[in-house]
Amino acid sequence: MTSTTSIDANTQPIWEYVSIAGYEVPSTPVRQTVKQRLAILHHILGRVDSPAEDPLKKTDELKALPEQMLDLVAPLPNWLSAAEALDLKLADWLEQEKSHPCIILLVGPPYGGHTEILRAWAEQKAWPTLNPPSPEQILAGDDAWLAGLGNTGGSWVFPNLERAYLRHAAGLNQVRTFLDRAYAGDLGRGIIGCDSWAWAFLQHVWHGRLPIVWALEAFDQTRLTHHFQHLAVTADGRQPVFCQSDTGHYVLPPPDADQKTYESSSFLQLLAAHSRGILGVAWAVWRASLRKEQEGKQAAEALAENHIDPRRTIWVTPWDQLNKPVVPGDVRHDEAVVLHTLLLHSGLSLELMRQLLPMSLNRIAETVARLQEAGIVAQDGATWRVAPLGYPPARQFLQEVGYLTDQF
Amino acid sequence: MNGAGDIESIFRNFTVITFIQVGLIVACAWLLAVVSQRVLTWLADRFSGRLRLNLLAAVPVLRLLIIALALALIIPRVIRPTFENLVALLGALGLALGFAFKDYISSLIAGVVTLYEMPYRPGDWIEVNGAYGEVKTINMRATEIITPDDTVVVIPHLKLWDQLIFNSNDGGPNLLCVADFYLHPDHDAMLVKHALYDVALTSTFLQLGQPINVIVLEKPWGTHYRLKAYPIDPRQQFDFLTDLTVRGKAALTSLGIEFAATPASVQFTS
Repeated sequence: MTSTTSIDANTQPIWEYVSIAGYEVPSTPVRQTVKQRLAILHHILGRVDSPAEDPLKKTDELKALPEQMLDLVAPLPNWLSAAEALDLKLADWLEQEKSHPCIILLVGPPYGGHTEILRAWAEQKAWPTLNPPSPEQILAGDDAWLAGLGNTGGSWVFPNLERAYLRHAAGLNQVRTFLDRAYAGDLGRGIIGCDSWAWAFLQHVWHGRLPIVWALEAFDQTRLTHHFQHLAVTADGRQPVFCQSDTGHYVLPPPDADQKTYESSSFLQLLAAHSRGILGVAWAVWRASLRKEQEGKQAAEALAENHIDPRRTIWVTPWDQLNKPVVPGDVRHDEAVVLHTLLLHSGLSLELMRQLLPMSLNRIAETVARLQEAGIVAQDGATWRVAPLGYPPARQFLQEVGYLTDQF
Repeated sequence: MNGAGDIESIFRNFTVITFIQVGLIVACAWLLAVVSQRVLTWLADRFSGRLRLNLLAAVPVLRLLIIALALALIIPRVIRPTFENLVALLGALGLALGFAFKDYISSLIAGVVTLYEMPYRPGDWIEVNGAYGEVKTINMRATEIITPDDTVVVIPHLKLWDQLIFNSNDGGPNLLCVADFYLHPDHDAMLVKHALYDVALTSTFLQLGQPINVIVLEKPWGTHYRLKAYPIDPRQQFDFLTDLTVRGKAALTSLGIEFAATPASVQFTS
């Protein structure tokens, strides 16, 4: 799982918008695929894999990073940079006096930051941001929201199209009318942001064809490396060193300029494939993987052999030992339906789920509780969402049981 | 002709060893067939969609192969496997069994034909002679289906020769469901058609990649709507129909559509 890598100046931009057809999900290394298949076989046969012998750092020598330190070494993605990349991509379209086409759609997977990026861009450009209709307005077929759309002065940003519909017999008409009007140019020129799951569903609801649909390019190993390294800083303002705890191999290239070659870990390649190139998901897994040494447990000799400075070192849990949520094996139709509905709407309250699902409130609450216990969903105020760590297994599960999935 | 001499020339001399060998082959074949059936069924329950159906369909095929292999191992141990001997033995057996167990043998042969032609496979939803259910197992003589009321119906393969067999999903995951709505004729049909389309589109059981159709038929007593769509899993068909019916009625009621009041003399046909 390691390779020797040289530090090269990489000209690939971190943030880049591409057409939706050109989006490439980072692939899983063949070796890891084989390991996963073997692990499934072992699971079926009831065998337990034994951990690797003699790791550089044993699990009990390490502890999780405090929140404050995590915010320093793995801070939130800077969506402003993505907004700048978007601005660059939009330059030609913005220069046109009469923009054609009049709307551009930006589709992004959950935790891909499409809403945050569009809000940041709209703020920079002082474009008005449209607010979505309330769920009550959607279900009641209240036209007040649609009627108010014409007052934007010709340019607008609607960052969350997924909030303009509900998967209910009465919940689709407004989004159809909105897209019809926007497509026809009645609302002026605008940029729409939409969650990828909602867009996958809306393509069955609205049959128009938008000429420009863009997506933020997936974060592959190279992009993740640059992104994490660029933002990480220790409390004393220095760049930390990220090493895999069992081998000591570098997960991110060492910051010392004189060290041209080094033993590198394939952790970020696996992370990029696991997170399907979604930065928010990769960021959450990255934070969950970081450890620091227990006080007084530094094995100086072993570290010296690997040229590692213990004061700046953040230990990364090996990929196979990382505690990743899994959809419970005994899941039923209820779990699949709840997960799918949460993803199609980018999160819902229990009360709204009751209105959309053919289940009682009690049954929904029980199902959500089971999924929460497994780490697949999380609560954010009154809204339940598929958790960033739970997204990859949830997506894989829904794909396996035949539900509509996004293309990211 | 010396009949006793002929039979002696066909069969080998039986020894205890031969009996033990044949017994062991039969026992192993039986064990292998049972284990393969259990393992494949167990595996199939852990998957869904086409993989599940393929695993279930492999059960009878594998059993047939095991039986053929067992016979191939047993016959040379019991008879001298010359062409004349085989013809004589099979001819005598065929004559005797043909009269005594005509239907049974016919079912066995139909069972083999079933595996070749595959009019139904485990996991398919079939209707034979008014019995509708999911094919659970295809045995040598008969097929077992489980009805939606959890009743096992044993259907001899013999039915294959002269009965109509209705297969709803034919080895695939696509099973069309039809929800019927009977409405008073005085309404905006286009509005109802769109409303019913959205009812299907917003069902959590819907397989979104498949088409949704609303068929409208005018009848003497009112208007008959047939909402056609596919569930994600054929096993969800009754939940799907219930969901379409419940939400369809609610959507139509909210639009102020009146349902047909059928005169008692009118007979429905779906």
